[in-house]
Amino acid sequence: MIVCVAVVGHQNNPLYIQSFTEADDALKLHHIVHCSLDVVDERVNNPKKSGSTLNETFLGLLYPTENYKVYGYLTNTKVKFILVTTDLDVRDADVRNFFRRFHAAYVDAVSNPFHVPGKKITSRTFAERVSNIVKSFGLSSAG
Amino acid sequence: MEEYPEELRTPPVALVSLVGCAEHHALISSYLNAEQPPINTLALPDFSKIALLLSKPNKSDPLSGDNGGILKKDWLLKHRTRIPAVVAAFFNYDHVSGDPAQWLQVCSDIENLKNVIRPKNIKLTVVVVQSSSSNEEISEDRMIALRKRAEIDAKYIVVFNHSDDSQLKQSFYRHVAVIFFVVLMSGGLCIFVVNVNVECGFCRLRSTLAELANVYYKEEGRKIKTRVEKKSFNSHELNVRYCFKVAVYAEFQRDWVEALRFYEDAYHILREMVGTARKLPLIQRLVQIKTVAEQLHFKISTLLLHGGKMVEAITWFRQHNVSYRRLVGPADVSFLHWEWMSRQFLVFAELLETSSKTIPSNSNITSGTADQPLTEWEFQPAYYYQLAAHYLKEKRTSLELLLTMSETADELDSNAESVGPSIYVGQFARFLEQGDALTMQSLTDEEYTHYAIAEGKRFQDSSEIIAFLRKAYESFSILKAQRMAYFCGFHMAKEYFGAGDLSNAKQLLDSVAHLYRQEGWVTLLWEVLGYLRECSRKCGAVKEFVEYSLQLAALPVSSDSGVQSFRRKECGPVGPASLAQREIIHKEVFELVGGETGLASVEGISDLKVNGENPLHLEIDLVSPLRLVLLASVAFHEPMIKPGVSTSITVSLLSQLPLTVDIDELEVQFNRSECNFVITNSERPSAAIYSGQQGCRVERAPSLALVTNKWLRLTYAIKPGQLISHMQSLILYSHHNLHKRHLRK
Repeated sequence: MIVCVAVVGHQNNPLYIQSFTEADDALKLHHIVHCSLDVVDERVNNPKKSGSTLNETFLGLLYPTENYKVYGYLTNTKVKFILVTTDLDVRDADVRNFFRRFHAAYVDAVSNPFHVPGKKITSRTFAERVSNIVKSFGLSSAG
Repeated sequence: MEEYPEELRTPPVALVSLVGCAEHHALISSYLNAEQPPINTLALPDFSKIALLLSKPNKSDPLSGDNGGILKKDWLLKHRTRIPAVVAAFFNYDHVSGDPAQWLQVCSDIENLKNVIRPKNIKLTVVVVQSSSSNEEISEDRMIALRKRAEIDAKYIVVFNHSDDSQLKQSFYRHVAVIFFVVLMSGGLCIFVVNVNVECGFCRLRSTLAELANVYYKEEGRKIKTRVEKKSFNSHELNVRYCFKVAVYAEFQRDWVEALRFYEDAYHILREMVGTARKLPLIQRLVQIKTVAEQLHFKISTLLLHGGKMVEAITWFRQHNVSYRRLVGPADVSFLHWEWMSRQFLVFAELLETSSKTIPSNSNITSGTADQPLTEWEFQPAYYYQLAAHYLKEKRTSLELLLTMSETADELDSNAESVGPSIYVGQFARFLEQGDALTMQSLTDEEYTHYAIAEGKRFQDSSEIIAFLRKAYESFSILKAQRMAYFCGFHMAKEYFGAGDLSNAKQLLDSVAHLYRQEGWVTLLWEVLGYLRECSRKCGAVKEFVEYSLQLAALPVSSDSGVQSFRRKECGPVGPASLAQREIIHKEVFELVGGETGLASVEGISDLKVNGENPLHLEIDLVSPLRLVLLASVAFHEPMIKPGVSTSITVSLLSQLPLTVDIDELEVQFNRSECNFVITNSERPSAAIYSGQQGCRVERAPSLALVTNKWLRLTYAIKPGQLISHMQSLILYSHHNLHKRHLRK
């Protein structure tokens, strides 16, 4: 289950962060997302060491915390997407697929002429769309 | 790691015993110990002592009862310090070749020795010490007799020729060649006399001992291995014990691959034991299994890391963690589980730290299995230190909870006194003195729980938590992972805060707050500011308290930011981040600056109030975090003003505080004081308290209310003739009742 997704801007500032848990651990998730930015920095600055190829947007598993797994994605405009999940068995393909759809939603949201680039995304449509993508995570791997 | 006994932490060292001719023992011992691989020696001056050493423990010893124990605690130590693999019997040349009485003595000594060591399969070597002055050779007959008496192969009789001790020492240290005889007898009784220097002579003795020791450990290992292979045991406990022993014997032989294999086997069998047939009560059984698993895991990790197999070691640790972390056991003793978990992480961090010095750091980090790749942090000790701290906190929390729930905890302390570790790893028992004898009594789970709680209460975890976090903090800082580092720093600060060390807490919190502010993580900043505010309250620092309160009140968190469900406990002292909470803080701080309430410092000596005698000055400059609270901007209507021509300026104020703020008075200062003027709030004339210079210009504004996130713009004409061309600097003073906030623009 996805417990948190976040969009992080150029200054490593949160543009959108939403947790999807019943439990009261939202703050913990915010900390996890924030800490994972270190790994994103590391991967982006040392692409050779981490073995990722050039122009690869998917950053893979950033780090395993005790109960969560954190994945990252970097758009071509250097906006970061972070995904936190409680699933211990996650298929890379599912995560990639999730990020692809999430990216599309993000692009649509920031294409809104009323959206100010670099500001928080407050669009309700975006939130709903993200929520749908989160719900369908792992289900649509075949499609 | 220091908690583990020495014999577990270090690889096994073979033990040989030297008997007889005590005058040579010191030199030989130090030589054997200094060589690689070292051999430890057990020096016994005369033959009568060995029987004592190897005497079997009394079978009826009540302490040796089988209580479903897995590993005996002293087994490793026994093989390191008490049970030699080889006994080297030293005889003087004179005695061997002397008169029949002396020879008889030699024979009887050998016979006794054989009787003692044979049941244990300990190897024997005979060393004949020849003084340098006597160049006579031992007669062939005597040699054969000696060999037969000792029932050993000819090559295990070493003739040792020496000058007097001091000379020997000198030769040894200076590497001066002296004549040394090694007599080899084989088949047709050939005698070779080899000229070597002393060092090589020692080498010879050493290699003989090492060879025999190896044979001993191999045979012992094989014996037990056969039992494992034939499955000739009736319990899992024995299976684990046998595998462990085989592994240890393999380590004695420096066969690391075999050792690793059997440690792993033991580990897996042990894991299967969880939840199967139980002899011991549930809690104690789980504790025992986890303790043994810990030791096996430690051995496996050490072997992997020393073999340079970092990726395997980390993968193994991950698996170890997954296998055991859910085995919390009954709630009463959950703190034991968290303590155990913490120790796993700590020990692995330490192991990783020591071995990463020897292993080059730029190993490929994308390794690991395809579906479970390892990530950067898993190679860093810092990651494990941080989690060790995390679990130790978890332990403290559950122990505290337990203590508050159990009222009887105190009275049980006395009961726990006679309890201690039993002879098995991870088992505890009650020791009762009955006359001279000590008897061991097994515990019920309830008794054990009481004992564990009493033990748990003795430790202060806070300093350890801080120490682990500091290590993590420092290494993350070196790795330039500042967010991780500050995350650890924040937890460290919370510990300091809890322990009442406010200055340390504040220092860390300030740096953490700076990062969160810079990157705009308001929810995280909220929590940190909450702690800072509490620190300043406890210190009685009114100004800081007001500053932090204002920052909190102005943070753009609202109930729709998806964080409404923050637990109170989780949010620190300031409560959940929400608009309502901001309003509460806003009211609280304005009551304080209005002089209506005081600030109770931690000492509680006196309420600290803000009033006429204690005015409060807050300065909001260009880099102040308070700019988030109140922003001021001043604009001249004309870019250039000629003297004598009138112009206007607009003062704009923006507040982010959740509630409307009424300003009593606003003072505008220029770098030429005659231009200064004051704007008073006509709605609150009574509040006007301005006491500046007489004759200062005073303007009245209809309202000076600052509504959240709405600019308040005030435009005033500036009289001609008062300006000079470089009038740029301007200070705004806003007075709220008696107290001032400076806005520098």
